[in-house]
Amino acid sequence: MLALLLTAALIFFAIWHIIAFDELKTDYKNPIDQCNTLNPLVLPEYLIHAFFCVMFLCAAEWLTLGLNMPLLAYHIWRYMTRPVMSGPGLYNPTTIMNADILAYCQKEGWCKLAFYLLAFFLLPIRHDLCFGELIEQRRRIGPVKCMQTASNEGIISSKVLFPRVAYGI
Amino acid sequence: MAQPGIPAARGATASLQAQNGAASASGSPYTNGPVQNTLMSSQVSSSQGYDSQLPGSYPRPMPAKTLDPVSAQLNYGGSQGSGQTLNRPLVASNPVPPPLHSGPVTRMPPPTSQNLAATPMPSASFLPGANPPPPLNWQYNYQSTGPQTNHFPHVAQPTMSGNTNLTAQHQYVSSGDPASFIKPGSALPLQNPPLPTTFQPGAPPAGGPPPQKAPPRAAVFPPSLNSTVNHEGVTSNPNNGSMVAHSTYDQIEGGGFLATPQLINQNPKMSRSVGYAYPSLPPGYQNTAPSSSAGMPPSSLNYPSGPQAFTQTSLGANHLTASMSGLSLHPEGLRIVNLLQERNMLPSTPLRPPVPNLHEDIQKLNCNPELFRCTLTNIPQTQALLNKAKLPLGLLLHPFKDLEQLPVVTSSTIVRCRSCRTYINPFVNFLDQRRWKCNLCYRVNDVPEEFMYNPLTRVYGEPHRRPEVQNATIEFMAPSEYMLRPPQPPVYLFVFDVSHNAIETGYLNSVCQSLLDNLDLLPGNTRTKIGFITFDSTIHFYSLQEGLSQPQMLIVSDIDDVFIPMPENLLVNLNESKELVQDLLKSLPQMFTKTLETQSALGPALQAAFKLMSPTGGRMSVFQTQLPTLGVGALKPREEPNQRSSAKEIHLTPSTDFYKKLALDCSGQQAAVDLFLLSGQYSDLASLGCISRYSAGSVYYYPSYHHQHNPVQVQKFQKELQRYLTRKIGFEAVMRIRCTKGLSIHTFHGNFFVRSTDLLSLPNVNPDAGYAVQMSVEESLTDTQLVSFQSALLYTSSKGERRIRVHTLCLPVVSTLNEVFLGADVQAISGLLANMAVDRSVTASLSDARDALVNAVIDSLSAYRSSVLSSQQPGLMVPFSLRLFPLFVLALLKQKSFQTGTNARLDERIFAMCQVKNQPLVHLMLTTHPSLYRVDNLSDEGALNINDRTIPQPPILQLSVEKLSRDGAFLMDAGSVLMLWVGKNCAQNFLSQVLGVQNYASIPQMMTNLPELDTPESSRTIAFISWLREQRPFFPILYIIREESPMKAAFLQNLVEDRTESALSYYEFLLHVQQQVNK
Repeated sequence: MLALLLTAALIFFAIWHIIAFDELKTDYKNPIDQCNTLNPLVLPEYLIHAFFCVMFLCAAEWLTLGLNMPLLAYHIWRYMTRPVMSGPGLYNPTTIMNADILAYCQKEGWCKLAFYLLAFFLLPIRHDLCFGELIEQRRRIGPVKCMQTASNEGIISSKVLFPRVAYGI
Repeated sequence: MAQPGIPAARGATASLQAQNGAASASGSPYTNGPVQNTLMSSQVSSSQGYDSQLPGSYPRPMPAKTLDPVSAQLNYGGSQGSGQTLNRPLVASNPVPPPLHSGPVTRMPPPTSQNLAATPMPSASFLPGANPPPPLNWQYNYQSTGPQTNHFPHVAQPTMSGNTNLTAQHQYVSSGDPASFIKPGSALPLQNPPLPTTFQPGAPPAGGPPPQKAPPRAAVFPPSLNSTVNHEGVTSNPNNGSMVAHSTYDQIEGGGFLATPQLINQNPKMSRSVGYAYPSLPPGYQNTAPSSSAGMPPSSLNYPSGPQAFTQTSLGANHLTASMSGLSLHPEGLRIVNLLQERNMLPSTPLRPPVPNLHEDIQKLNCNPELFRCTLTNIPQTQALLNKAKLPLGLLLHPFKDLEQLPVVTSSTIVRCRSCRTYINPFVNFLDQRRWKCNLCYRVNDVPEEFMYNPLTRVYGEPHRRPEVQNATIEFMAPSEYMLRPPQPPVYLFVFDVSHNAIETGYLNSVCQSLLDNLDLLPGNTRTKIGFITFDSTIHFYSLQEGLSQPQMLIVSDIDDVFIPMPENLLVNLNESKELVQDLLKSLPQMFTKTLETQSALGPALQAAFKLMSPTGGRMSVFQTQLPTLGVGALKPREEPNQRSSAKEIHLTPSTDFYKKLALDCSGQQAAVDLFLLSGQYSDLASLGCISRYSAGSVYYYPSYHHQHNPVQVQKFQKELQRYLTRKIGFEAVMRIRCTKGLSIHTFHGNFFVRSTDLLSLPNVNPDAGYAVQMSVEESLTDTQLVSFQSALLYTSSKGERRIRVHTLCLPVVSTLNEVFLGADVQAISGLLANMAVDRSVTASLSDARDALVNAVIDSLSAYRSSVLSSQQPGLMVPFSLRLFPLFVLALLKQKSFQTGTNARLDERIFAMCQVKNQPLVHLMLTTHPSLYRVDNLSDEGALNINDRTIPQPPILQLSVEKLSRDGAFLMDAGSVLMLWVGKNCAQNFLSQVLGVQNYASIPQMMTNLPELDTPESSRTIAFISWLREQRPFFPILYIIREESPMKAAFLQNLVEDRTESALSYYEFLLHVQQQVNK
């Protein structure tokens, strides 16, 4: 359950990023403000994802771990190469308006969203397998419920959030 | 006016003739038709006003700009022409008829035929008529003709899109008949028909521009009639910028070159004018393309246009023919050059930007390339085409350049597009009198009632003659909607480093002295505020409150938490406290002479300055002499001298974001920071420079500044400081760049903060700053033939007025790769590449940036070879427009920013990069590819005459040792430095007459000044050097170099065509490129 919540949080982060960059692109927000709101979210997202990886490692869930490793490596690389900044975060208000960087960030947001959504739907299944033995009965009923909530949330989020994106354009 | 009467008398005949002439001469109106016109116009376009050229052509040398009352009339004509330009394309065929007069005119015969006829026609018929009248008006005439023609077209064609020719006559009519004004349409017909034939004869064929010109002038007369109405307004404009009678039209700054002619414009008579939009480009434009190719001299351009004009009738067909003719006529521009075989590609005169391949009438109105210039004067239709060409698409701007003349409009409503907010400009289409179509988003807008009245001519119903529609560069006085707060007062805050190190250099004396001298010249008004802060390990404020007997110093030693003591007395009104300020400036240099404090708390001092400035905004000038060592923003030395050569491990990125964040805070409070770094040691300019870069300030760097050991540097510092203190300044500015739908902005280069995709925040804007913009083609431009770019700079002047300076550039769209290459502007491309390479150096590495530069050449030339050249010839084939591309890129590789080798100190390299980003293109090109002149045999041949001074213009030589000779003396102008190299066997004459020395051996080792001797050679040389210096805002030091001078290495380093220890020679570079291209 926790895992699902966390994945939902990741999805939320990804969508938030997409919206934020879209707002930048359409001159809706000042880049300084936008970077100030985005930067604090970067580390939590990365940490949550790293936490997942650690959990998969503990559960010896090699396949899932394998799927997640590239993203983990990407996150590490991304944070290592971040611009010189005194605070946490990735985004630099002076370069963010560059069309290349903006397009890159948006693309990154969409890719992550897709990845997290996939994880969100696969997780319950995998979850059942990996944690099922550790936490027993609850899980039996869990997957179905989880699937339901997942799809509900998914639909809701896409309905609520996607129009905003379209509106921005 | 007196004139009116006269002209009237001449009346019909004169007018007719004039028109004929005008038709041909004006070219623009008829554009298509008469070849002559094109010639004329072309010349005009290249320069600014028609005037200059025209006068020459006539037998009677009228000064181009006579102010006589009569002249005023002329102006009208001129203005009209320009104004109407838009419409003209359509008109083209018409040209002739109007003059003839009124007769019954039917529409013109086939336009082409007419044109031909017209052109060939001997001027004789016209001339006679024309000449007589003209004498009075000469000046007028030419201008007037232009306009008139325009009018005609408008009138006649109102309905017609295609052939407006007839219209031209309208004006005449109008002039003649008041009624005509009102009803342009009706009047027109009458006049038009007969005229054509006569005119044509008058106009000589393309051949002689001058003769052609004459006829036009004749044509002018008629205008004069019209002019009567306008006269007053007009006259004032052209000549005296300031004079304009109408309140609306202030010419505060004088009319820009461009402006002048346009201002003149007021065609009284034009009623219809707008009728068609020229929007759909006449085929002619496209045709011209080949001719326009970059290198071409203006004249060449003209020719092509001529042919086009003829053909124009049918758009499609014309195209082909025109282009064909263009080819045959102008092989030079279309030529394919084998760089391996032709060595001397460098022109001996300064390289001119290519002229966009536009209709003359449009081109005439286009923005001056010094202000606004595009890397590709033929815009590719699609991103795919752009990618194929492998050339960067971008703009280079110098938006706040000091202009001698600039039209200023005061109007309660500024006419802008309702959807994209574009300012109305010369390239919009008037659908009719009441509606105009935006040239950026194509929305149709209403013309506001107020805009119908032309304050210059005092005529109602001529929106197309308004100065806004006649000038590509214009300034508006902004009403209160453009203010977020009341305009700020000019605020100047000076922050001085007074640590031991700083006092040692003795800079404080120079600065205080300069400030004392220029206190009254600081741009400002009665609200000007000034303040001072000094710092070492503590921060010192100076209370200059009115009533104090002497300045009071307040020391804040808590640098971890800076606060402002008595904030209200630290920034004081300059007028009220002038004596205190002067006292302070006099005593400041002595106050710290015994200081032993070596620490520097720059960060806290900047924070304090920011706090002091934040309520108002303004300009902070920071003088720093060492690495900041205390408090926030302290830096550590990062340079390792023995690693300078390796391109990998150099620190081009800032080590802290403190300065950047502070700069963004400053930017938010409309404060800009200008950094003067006077330092002998490494000061980490990469980090410090951020404070200026993001707050739109500028950086000045004086390595090894010392008042005794380095007197040359002191002189340079003082001169540049003086310019800095007295130059124009704009406060709380923003600049927005708009472009036609389909194009989008990719990246900005320069000193500013990018606030949104097309908006730059510029807390201060200064006339010496240049900007670059990379563009991309987002949607296909297949439906359009012209694209426009508009930059709008909104700022508060030092007088407290809110103003908007608008520049608009219009360029044609092309669909083939060949045309894209032909329109390439090699200087602009090199400039934009340099900007991109600086970014690349910072984000990736220097070697990456160098590779990218080389690849830019290889890729574009490969694209040319594979896609445009049909037969694969051996050698390195390049289009004529790009013939200097490899040379400029090689020069960039050897420029201080990108060179490898051990002789570039890190700070100097970074300063060079700052300059690349912040300098206007002219200066950037000069520092990249210096000009070399031979100066031991200067003569007055081809010399310029400016204000009674004769300035010799020696040819520019290639930058190669082979061009040097031991028996000559050579001057290298590298932008920020001038080097005079004297050969060992230099003529005795030069040594004694110019250098004032007995023989070669007695030239001092370190000579930096030419003695003023009373000899013609000396005065020529000095005139030339001071002329070079006057053209730039910084002060280049002159070094006189002989064989053993230490500066010789720098001189040889700048000979970019030669091989150096770490870089290829030009020929080797070409071979390398060829090898890669042919792969």
